Order: sequence, then structure tokens, then C-alpha cells
Amino acid sequence: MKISQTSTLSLSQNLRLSLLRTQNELSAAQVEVTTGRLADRGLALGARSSLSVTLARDLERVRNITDTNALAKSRLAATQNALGDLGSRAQGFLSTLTAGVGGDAGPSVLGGDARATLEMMTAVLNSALNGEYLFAGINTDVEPLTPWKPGSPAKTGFDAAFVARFGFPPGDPAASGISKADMQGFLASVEPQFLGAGWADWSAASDAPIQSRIALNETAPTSVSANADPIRKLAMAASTVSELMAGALGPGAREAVVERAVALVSEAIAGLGQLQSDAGISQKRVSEATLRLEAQADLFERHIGKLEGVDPYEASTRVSQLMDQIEMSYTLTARLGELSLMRFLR
Amino acid sequence: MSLYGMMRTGVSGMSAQANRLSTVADNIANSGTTGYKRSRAEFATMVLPSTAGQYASGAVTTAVQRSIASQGVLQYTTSATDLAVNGDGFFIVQSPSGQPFLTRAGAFVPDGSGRFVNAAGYQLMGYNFANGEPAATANGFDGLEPVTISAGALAATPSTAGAFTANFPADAAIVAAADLPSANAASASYSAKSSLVVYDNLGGEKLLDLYFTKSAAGAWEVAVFDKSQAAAGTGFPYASGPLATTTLNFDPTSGALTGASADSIAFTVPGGAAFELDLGDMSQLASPYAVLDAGVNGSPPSAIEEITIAQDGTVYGQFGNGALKALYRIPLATAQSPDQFIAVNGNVFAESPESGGVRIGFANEQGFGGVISGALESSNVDIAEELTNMIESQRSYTANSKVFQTGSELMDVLVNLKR
Amino acid sequence: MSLASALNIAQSALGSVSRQTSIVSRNVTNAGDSDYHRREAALVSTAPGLRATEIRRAADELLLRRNLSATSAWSGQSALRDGLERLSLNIHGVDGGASVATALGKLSEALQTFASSPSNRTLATNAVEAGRAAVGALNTGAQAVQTIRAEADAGISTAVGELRGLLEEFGRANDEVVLGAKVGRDVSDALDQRDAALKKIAALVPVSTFTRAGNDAVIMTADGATLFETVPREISFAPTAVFTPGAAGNAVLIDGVPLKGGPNASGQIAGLIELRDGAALGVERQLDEMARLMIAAFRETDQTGSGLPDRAGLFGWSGGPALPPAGTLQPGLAGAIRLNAAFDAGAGGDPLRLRDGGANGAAYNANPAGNASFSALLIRYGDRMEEPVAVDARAGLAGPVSASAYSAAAIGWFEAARARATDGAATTEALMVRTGEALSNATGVNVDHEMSLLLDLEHAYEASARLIKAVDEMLAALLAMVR
Repeated sequence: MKISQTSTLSLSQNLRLSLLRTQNELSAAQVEVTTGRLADRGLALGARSSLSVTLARDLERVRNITDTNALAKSRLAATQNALGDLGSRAQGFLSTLTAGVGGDAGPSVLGGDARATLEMMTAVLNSALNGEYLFAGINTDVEPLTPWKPGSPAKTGFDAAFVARFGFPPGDPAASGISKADMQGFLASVEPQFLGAGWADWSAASDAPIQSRIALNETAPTSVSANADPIRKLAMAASTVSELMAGALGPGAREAVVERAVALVSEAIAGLGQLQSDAGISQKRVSEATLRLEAQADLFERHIGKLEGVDPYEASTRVSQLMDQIEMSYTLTARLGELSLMRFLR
Repeated sequence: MSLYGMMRTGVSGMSAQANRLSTVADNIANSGTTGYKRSRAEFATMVLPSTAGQYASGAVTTAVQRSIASQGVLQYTTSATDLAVNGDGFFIVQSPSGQPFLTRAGAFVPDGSGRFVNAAGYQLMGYNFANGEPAATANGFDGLEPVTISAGALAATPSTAGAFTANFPADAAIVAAADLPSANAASASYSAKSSLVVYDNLGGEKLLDLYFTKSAAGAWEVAVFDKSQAAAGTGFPYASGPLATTTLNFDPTSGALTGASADSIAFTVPGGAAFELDLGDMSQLASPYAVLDAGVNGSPPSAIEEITIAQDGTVYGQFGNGALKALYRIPLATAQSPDQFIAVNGNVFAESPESGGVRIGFANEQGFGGVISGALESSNVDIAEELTNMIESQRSYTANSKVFQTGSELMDVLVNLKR
Repeated sequence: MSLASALNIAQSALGSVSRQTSIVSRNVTNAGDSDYHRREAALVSTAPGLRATEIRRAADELLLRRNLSATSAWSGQSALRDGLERLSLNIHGVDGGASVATALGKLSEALQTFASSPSNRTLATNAVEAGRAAVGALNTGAQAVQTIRAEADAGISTAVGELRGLLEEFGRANDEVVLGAKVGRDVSDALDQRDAALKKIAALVPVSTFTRAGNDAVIMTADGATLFETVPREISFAPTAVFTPGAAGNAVLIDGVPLKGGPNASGQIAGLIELRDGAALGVERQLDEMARLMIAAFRETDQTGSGLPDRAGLFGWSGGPALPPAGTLQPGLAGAIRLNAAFDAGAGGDPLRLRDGGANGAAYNANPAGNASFSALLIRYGDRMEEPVAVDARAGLAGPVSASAYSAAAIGWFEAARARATDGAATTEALMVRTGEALSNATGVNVDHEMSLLLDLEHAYEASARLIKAVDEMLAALLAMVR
């Protein structure tokens, strides 16, 4: 007769092994309950680990870009403000000029307003945010606009051009003899100093605006350069008016100056509006991109949660179940230890 | 017939009982003697011619018989050289003077020169394997010699035959002819490899490398190389070419060897004997290479460590390296009527005319019993029976003496008639 | 029969009971030994009144064989799993914290932060430091792979030595078994030893066994190479002190036949071979590819249009300043990749070169004007890290794929291998435990069973003693009569 038997060794080993296994599972389940994530992601996900890594990394990148977008956003907002200030200043200057054309404002008023405009413009354009000059293009570590003052290269160039043209400085009494046509000719000849290559004397800014990555695969210009046309025009209007009104020009020449200034400021106002709306578009792109990134981050988080998250209820149920099992195991071990023929053989 | 007759009858009865008591004494004395066979007194009548009216009392004659054929109880001991026969048969021993006898007293102990000597000084006889596979000489003691085991003896047997059975994977890749192991090139490749230990003439272990290589569909080349010639590491090229090569052809339907295929490979073991490896059970089935059986004969040299005696009477020398070598075979002998053997000193028996001629055979064959090592056959005396017999003899002796006494008294009466 | 023989039989009964008792006590003593097989005393009546005790050893060849193959599979897979776990910890860190993928993610973040304020030197240093961390991750990874490979090689060497010893042990036990079988001696202990050695051998290499005439066992590996036949076969293995990157280690030759690894490696040695030449080598190649992709992603291009070749930028290597050939695995690159000193403030370099370029001369400077917020190059680096390029298929991953995706895919590849090994180890462990249990049930000792046997034996002993006493009394009675 063949009776299947259980060996004493396997009986005790079985209990011990299952106890060990349960304890191992318990420690993993405990980790899962406390962290809410898989205890060993790599093991549970296998080849999908790469997805988990990519998602986690993309999430970090998206958050990082969201952070850097805030910087771009504040820069754009500051630019927007500055441009608005410039615009209203230009508007004020224009009204003064218009008054000048009608003869309501004297040359000194015009000159004063022009100087104020010039100073304000210099201050605004040289404003800095976070250590970077807002309007410096990408050359942000250099003040973009050299102030218009005696000795500054731009003013020296202008003065030299005037002397070269007429043979005397604007303050010379002989200046009163300059005709309107002469003045118009002169203004046309100094135009390159502002709107052309001579602007480099004024501005250290680069033409290229700052490019920023605003989304995982999108870049946008996030600054306005002081080299923008409207700014140059405003600068030309303000500087010519401030220089020439103070001199001894005759009415004809003055008229020519004011007319040219009016034309330039009008163009500048239109241009500034354009710049503002461009900056606005960038602002909108940045904020839209940020919104998109936030949505993406949400999506990534959800994905990651799905991939490596553990249902805390399920995990804690598992923990209590495993603990029950272990307790049962202990009880069984104790009971089986007592269950021996030896106890009855004495 | 006469009172004298009656008295003589009484005397013969008394002497018969005295005989019987003698056997009882002998039996009881030898009840502890290994291999002792009890004797027993049997009586026969002697009848004198009588007429109807006159009864002449005869006499009783005694014949002593020995229960030589009846087996005693086996008692186990711890010595491997203690032998017993379980069943019919006697060990053949010889006296120091060289005369053969039979015995069942198997308490053998090796003496100084390695001979197996029992308690009475008789040497155990056997057939030596050195003279070839022993065959019993049915009716004589020819060819027997004392079983002598000298502990220092070395023994080796060269390998001569072997068998190798394996399955070759049917889906193995075919190896180009130039790369077959038989070409012994460095680029050689093979489908499967195994190795076997064989023994050369001096008992040295020789490793043979067996290469099996699929050379064509259903055809496998077998190449045998001497491992000692192998290049370090992978083996090829060997310093000398293959010992032998052959090609096995397999039947595509059954996977077994075709009828026309070679089914063995023969070569000479380097420094050894001619060797034939049987490959007859090879198969080629769609299963990985697997060796199912492999074996060779032969044994390496070494000294005897221990003697073991198998049930068939073969004396094995157990050598130090684990090899086991048959040295002697202990024959058993018997006769037509073993009970008629003549008992000689020392629990041995000699053939007598009545016993019939001695017949020699091997244990477990031809009705012989088995040789049991580590056991002794105790005497077949039963004390209780002997004591009973003794009491019985004593009583019948007394009865006989009473008969004699009665006759004597009657004689007295008769003699006194004449007063 | 006679009283004497009754006495004799009773006496031999006492003997056989004591022999049986000794077997029971042997069983009980060894109840805790998993290699011990239960003995059973079988009584054989050989002659009138004689009972010889034959010792039978419980055995189940089939279960043993299944247990052996499960043991092999488990030890192979668990060796692989343990190695991969160690490798994972060394090259990926806890939860992948130290992985190249994480370092690349950090680098790309640092680049992005830097690109948003390119004038900020601190951010530039940060980005360069992130690059250094990526180099560190690669270097550490390459080092870890070397260490693991060397450890695996040493493990193989130890295991081979162990295997040689076990085969000797097996041989000794086998000799005794063969001997005992021929002379009818009790060879249970030798069989136990032989099976125990076989179990240990099976943990090292997968075996198949068969027994020849006289219970003479022959061990083959699962591929049919001879391990033991009459004598142990030669097992040769030359350990490698230092591994050449990209090169496989030495093979373990069993009787001249190389032992194979493979993802389903069975037996500790094969598991270690797979770890050394499979998984670790794959990881090493992938690290090398990552290094190559990183060097390529941060390459500097000629800005003057004079057709100068591309040069290594932020990341240099021993073969620099040229770039490693595109699309081709460059063994050892992960260990050779360095942070270019021209970017390293600590080594006299300038982190702002990352913004401007020009580490390879003025022709490579993309920002000759030195504009502080020049971000084009930084953005391009960021783009290049995400740009799919051709990769070498030898490293186990298919291209074209970007540097950052490659580093993530490498983790996926590795974790898949680890998950497979862990899964394999878990299943084979279950099988091993199950078969071991079944084997133990079939051949092990149940103490209760032995105790009940002992009760029987006590009774038998008492009965025999009683018998002897009775016969003694009878003989005494007889002798009293003779008086």
C-alpha cells in the first residue's frame, strides 16, 4: 500500500517560506500605501519604464518652461508698459508740436517738450528688468540708449553735420538766415544718423529680439529692440526739435523742423502702436503656451498617475489582508508545533 | 530359544542404547559447533530362525546416521569472510596436506599468505578468474586452487568494448565537409560532443572525445579523438588525426539507423586494446542532443581494499579506485546422498562409496543454494530433542538391563534346580 | 522445528528490531536534512527462521529530475536578477534618480532656464554643471558596468571552482554507490551524498543524468556536454581581470563545449554569463551610444561658412575634438566622455561658451558680438537633444531616435530585461519550491510516522523477548526432568 505522506521538513519549510513571501509582499504593499506609487516601478512596468521616465522628464520640462515663461511674460508686460508710456509721451509731444505749427507754442516750449521727450525716452528704453535691459535686443548687458547730451557720439555727429552743412552751429546768429528749403535739405541729410547706420551711435542694442522657448517645440521673440523704427523716428523728432528750437533759427527753418517732427512723431505713434500689438501678440502666445503647458502638465501627471500610481484603498486592503495572513501563519505554526505524536508518547 | 539368548538380546539392546547415548553426547557437545551436523543412532533388528513353538530372541544392531543434508540455522556475523550456504551444497576445502574435503563450516579467516582458512585449518578452494571465466568441472577437483587474496596486488583491465546511445537533433545545421571534425582543421565545428573514459593496457584512463556532426540530411559523422592530443581550449586541431571516423545514416521515417548504416566504430585505444564502440541504438529525432546511455568495460589498476563475496560465490576484490574485480569463484559441491558422507575431523566430510560421486557447480545454479557472506551456519542440533532422546535411551537402557537381570535371575532359578 | 531454532529466530528478531530501530533513529535524526532520503527497513525471509534487514531508500527519480531542472532555472534567473538589480541600483540609482535619462532631463531643464536668461552667468554655470552631472552619470554607469562584469566574471570563476569540487564530491559518492551496488552493501548514505552533490551541481549548470549498469551515474549538461562520466570532465575558464569595453568575456568550456548564456539562462554560471555578456554588455553599448548622441547634440558647427568640420562642444572625449563617427557604436565612449574644459569655470574655462560657442576657435563662435541674451545656440542644443538621429542597432535599440528618447528607451530596455529575469526567477522559484516540496514529501521523513513505527518495533521487541523467556522456561523444565 502506498500512502502519500508529508515530510516533517516540508511541513515546517512550507510555513516558513510562505511566511517569508507574505512578509516580502507586505513590505512592498506598505511602501505602496505610503507613497501611493508602485514599490518597484521598473519591475512592474518593464519595457514601459521608458514611458514613465519620458513622462516624468517631460513633466519636469513642461514645469520648467512654465517657470521660464513667467519671466518672458513679465518682460513682455514691462515692454508693453514702456511702449505705452512712450506712446503717450509721443502723443503729448505731437500735440505740443501741433500747437507749435499753429504758433500757439513758442520755440522754447517746443524745445523743452522735445528734451523732456528725449529724456523720458532714454529712461524708458534704458529700463531694466531682472538685470537685463528691456530694449537691448539680445545685447542685454549694455545700456541700449546713450543719453542725448553734449559729448555723446550722436549729438557730436549731429552738431558736426550741422556745422558741415551751414558753417556755423545752430546757436550762431547766422542761423536765422537758414531758409526752410535749406533746413529741409539738412534734415534729409541727417536722417541716416537716426534711421540709418548712424543709429549705432545712439544704440548699443541688437536688432534681433530675445528668442525664448515658450513651449516644448515653440519659440517666440519676447522683447522689443530699441532699434525699432518708431523709436528711431521719435528719437529723431525729439532730438532735432530739442537741438534746433533752442538755436537762432528763422521761422521758415523752424517750420521745416516742426513739420518734419510732426510727420516723424505721427509715424512713430503708429509704429509704436504696431510694436505694442506685436508685443501683445507675443504676450498672448506666451500666456496661451503657458496654459497649454499647464494642461499638458496635468495630462502628464494623470498619465504618470495611471502608469505608476496605486489605488491607496486597494493597497491598504492588501496590507490588512497580508497582515491577516501572517497572523494566521503564526497561529498555524504554533498549532502545528503542538501537533506532534511526541506529545502523546510519554 | 534359551535364556542365554534372551540375556544376549538384552545386552545388545543395552549396547545399542549406549551407542545412541554416545551420539546424543556428541550432539550436545557440538551443539555450538559451526557447520556441525547431528548424528543419530538408528537401530535394526537381527532375527534368529524360530519355529512356531519356539521363539529365539535376536538382537539389535546400531547404524549411526548423520543429518548432513539438513541445514542449520544461519547466524549473522559481521565478518565478510564468514560464509554460509543457504540451501544445498558444500564448500570445497583442502587440508594442509592438500586433500580435498567438503564442509559447511564457513568461518574463514585469511591467513598470513592470504589464504582463507577456517577454524579447523582447512583452506577454501575456488576457481581463479586469472585462468579465464571459470567453469565448474562437474565431477572432479581439477582447476581448483586455494582462494588467496594478497592485499598488495594491483589489477587493471584494458577496455575492449563499449556502447553509446544518444539522440541527435534532427534539425541540426549541416556542417560543410571542410569543417567536419574528421578534417581536423582549426575551423572545425560540430553538432554535439561527448567524451568517454576508456582504459589502456596499463589501466590508464584515456579520455576519448566523440564528435557527432551532421554532414548531410540524415547522415552524421562520428569522429573519435584522443583527448590528450587536443589543442588547449576548444580542442581543434588535434595533434594527431581522429582515431576513427564513420558515418551513421538515419532513416527519415523512423529516425533509427538504416539497415545499411554503420552501427559501431572500431579503433585501437592509444596504448590499449582494440576497442569497439556500439552505436546501434542511436536515433535522430526532433529533440535536442541527449545522451541516453554510455558505458565501457575495463578497469583501472589499484590495490585491493576489501574483499566482498557475492551470493553467486564470486569473490570480488574491491579496488581503491572503486573498481570491482572478480578474483575467484567459490564453487559448491554436493553428491547424490550427502547424508552418506564420511565425517572427518574439523566439520569436514569426505565422499564415500555410498554417497555417490561429488558433483561440483556454482551457487544459485543447478539446485545449489546461495553463498551468504557474513553469516555462519550453526549446528543443526536441537538440545531439547537430544535431551528427550537421552531420557528415552536411559529408560530403554534400564529396560534392557531389567531383561538381562530377569534372564540372570531365571538362570539362578535354573541352576538352583539341581541343588 | 526445534526449540533451539525458536530461540535463534527470536534472537534474530531482536537483531532485526534493533536494526530497524537504528534506522528509525537515523530517520528522526535527519528529519531536518533536505538531502536525506527516508530509509525503510525491509525484512526479507531468506532462510528458515532468518530475516535479513534490507535497507531501502525512498527515491523518486522523476521528481528529483524535475526539481533539478527547476533548481537550475531558478538559480540562473535569480543570478541574473540579482546582477541586474545591482546594476540597476548602480547605474539608475534609487527610482532612476541617478540615471543618464534623469541627468539629461536635468540638463535640458538647465539649458531651458539658461536660454530664458542667457546673460545670467550663474545659470550658465548651472547648465554646465548639469552637463557635468550627465557626464558623471555616463562615467559612473560605464564604471558600474565594468564592476558588474568583473564581479560576474569573478562569480563565474568561483562557481567553476565550486563545480569542479562538486564533481569530485559526486565522483567519490558515485564510486561508493557503484561499489556498494556490486557487493550489495547499503549505499543509502552515498546515494544521499550523490543526490546532494547533484542538487548543488544543478544549481550551477543545468544537468541531465542517466544511470548505467550498477547505478553508475553520468551527468551531462542540458546541451549534452559531458560533466561526469567515470571521472569528472575538465571545466576550463580563464577569468578576465579588466574588460575591454564592448568585448565579450571568456567562455566556460565544459569538456571543450562552451556553455551558453541567453535570457532564459539556466544554472548560476549561465545566468552570470548572460549578465556579463548579455545584459551588462547591452547596457554598456547603450551608454556608449548615449555618450555619442550627447557629444553629437552639443557639437559646434562652423559659423563662417568656410566648411570647417563639426567639432565636439560641451562634451569632449578621448578622440576629440573631432566627433565620433555618426551612427556607429564607439565602444568605451561612455567611460571616455568628459566635460570640455573650455566650458568648465573650475578648469579655467568659461561657462558662457555654452551660449556663444567658440570652444573650438573663433570660427565656431555663433555670437561674435557677445550679446548677453543670445539664446539661439542654447535653443538649438535643446532642439538637438530631441532631434531623432541614426543609432547603431548593435546596442539593441532601433533608430532614428533622439538622445533624450534614447536614454529613456535604454531604461525601458533594461527594466524589461530585469522584469523578465525577476518574473522568471519568481516562476521558477515557485516551481522549485513546489517540486522540492513534492520531493521532500516523497523522500523525506515524517517524524510522526517514524514514531508510530517505533511503537510497533517496541511491541515486536517485547514479543521476541517474551518468546525467548518462554523457550528458556521450557528448556529449564526439560533439564529439570533429566535430573
